[in-house]
Amino acid sequence: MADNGVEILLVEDNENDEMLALHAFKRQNIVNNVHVVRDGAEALEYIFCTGAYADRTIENPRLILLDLKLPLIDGTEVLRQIRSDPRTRFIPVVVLTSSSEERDIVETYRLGINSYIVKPVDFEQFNEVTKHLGYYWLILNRQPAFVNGLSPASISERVST
Amino acid sequence: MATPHPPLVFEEIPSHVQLSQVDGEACSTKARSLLDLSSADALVDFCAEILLVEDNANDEALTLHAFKGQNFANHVHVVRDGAEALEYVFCTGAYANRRTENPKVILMDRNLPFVDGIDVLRRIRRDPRTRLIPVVMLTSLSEECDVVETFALGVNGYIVKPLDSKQFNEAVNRLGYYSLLINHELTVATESSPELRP
Repeated sequence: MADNGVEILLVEDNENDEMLALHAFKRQNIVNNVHVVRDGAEALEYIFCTGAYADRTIENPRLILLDLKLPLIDGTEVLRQIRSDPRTRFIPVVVLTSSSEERDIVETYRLGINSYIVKPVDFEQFNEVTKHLGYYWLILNRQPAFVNGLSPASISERVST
Repeated sequence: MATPHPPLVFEEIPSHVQLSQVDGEACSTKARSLLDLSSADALVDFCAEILLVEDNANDEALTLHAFKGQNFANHVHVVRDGAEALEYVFCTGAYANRRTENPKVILMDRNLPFVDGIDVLRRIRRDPRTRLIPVVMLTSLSEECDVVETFALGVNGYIVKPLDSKQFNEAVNRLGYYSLLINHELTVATESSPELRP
């Protein structure tokens, strides 16, 4: 993995949850480089290299952790855009949310999420879940190599050929 | 091809999350505490579980051994080829009378007799009754084109079987734990709701 590669893009507007997640990742020594964005619009800018991230040159994240209730653009819409663009459709997306509503689970699975996790309320359980999550997605899971091995622009060329 | 994996760090699963030494009740308590399951029905749900599609007897034994270490072994149903997998999933042939819930996760090898794993995955994803069941490829193939194809078909995860038996054990442990205790899947895909059940 490239040293400058972002392993996880965390899309989280709740500061407390963000802090908990970063703390848990730090403790387990598997995830070292998390980039945090705080609303759906910023997430899309990061993912598609537009706006404030027009000059992003580092690789795509290996995993996107997506909250559903987000300011400006909600998580479901962010997911829809990720999955409908050939440059990003294979990036693993895990929904990490406090909602365990059936309709959220159904809708996001239909849109092609890889996994759905309900945030545990308890701090220790949150740690535990985060640890398993990092291990599963960054160590166990394989994904198409070109998703994060190339810049977004070259991904687009590769997919269209 | 560059495999963008970090160095393998096989730290032990801490003892408080090991399910191996605990009895069924403690196991269910753990499941409840992690998943916020709170009723006896939820416990029954917790016991429906994993469909393992594996034709290699050795890999099957290794996988079941790993699940046994976590008390998940009782909840695994094994089928040995792609045709049997489809019969199980769609309740046809030998499984026409299956009354058990749909699995919470399908762990599937890529190369299978009769109908291969890609084709099984394609059919599961095409059918509204089964398209939302999480499917994880557990395979010895790590060809890029294979990974891309399965992702394009909507696989939820792709895991290459480690050759080393200790690492294999660890990987299956983690996979089982993640799939059964961390991930939330659809209850409509697993419960016996008549319009969604095959």
